Amino acid sequence: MISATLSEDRLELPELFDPASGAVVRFTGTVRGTENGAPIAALEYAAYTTMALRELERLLRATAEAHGLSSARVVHRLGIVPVGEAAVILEVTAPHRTAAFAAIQEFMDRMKIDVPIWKIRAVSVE
Amino acid sequence: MRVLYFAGAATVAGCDAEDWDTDAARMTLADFWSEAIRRHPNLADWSRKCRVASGLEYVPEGGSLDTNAEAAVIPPVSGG
Repeated sequence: MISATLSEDRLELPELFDPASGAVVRFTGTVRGTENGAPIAALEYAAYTTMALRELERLLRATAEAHGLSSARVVHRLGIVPVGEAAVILEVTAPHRTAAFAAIQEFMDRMKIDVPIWKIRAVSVE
Repeated sequence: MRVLYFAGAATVAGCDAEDWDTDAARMTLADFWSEAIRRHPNLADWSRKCRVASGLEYVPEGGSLDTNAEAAVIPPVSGG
């Protein structure tokens, strides 16, 4: 299963159960409390949504094929994301953990180059 | 041709989107930037760091755009 989603709501991704996979690895990218050394309350994300979804799916498929994944899902939040909350969740399943960890690293590295999503604003602490 | 501007490029251009009248079916990347900068001179520096998409696909260096498809100026991305 390959699934890419964009959401303006708080991210929730129910855990996958895949009896064929020995490894289920989830990466959650959360908003940190500082940006460029200054404290922040939130980050605001925007996207070229049609192309972002297309690139996310393409990248998931390529990563899944390259690493022999059983499944891969990603959800990225748009709009204002408060500190401590998830901006992106990526979850992959694979027969063994080595492939799963490698796939996570590769996907995140590529996502930060090719997928048209931007942090457009840091919301200051009041 | 519908042209979209995103993130910092939209701020510099002063707009998110505009429509260009074009006669030719295709436009080179160089001609695209020439027109974008003619319309928004402050985009001149951005042409070196932005990519351009046509029909939801990145246009490679030296490539061309389909003027019947939506174009987009894509600054360096920062998701995740």
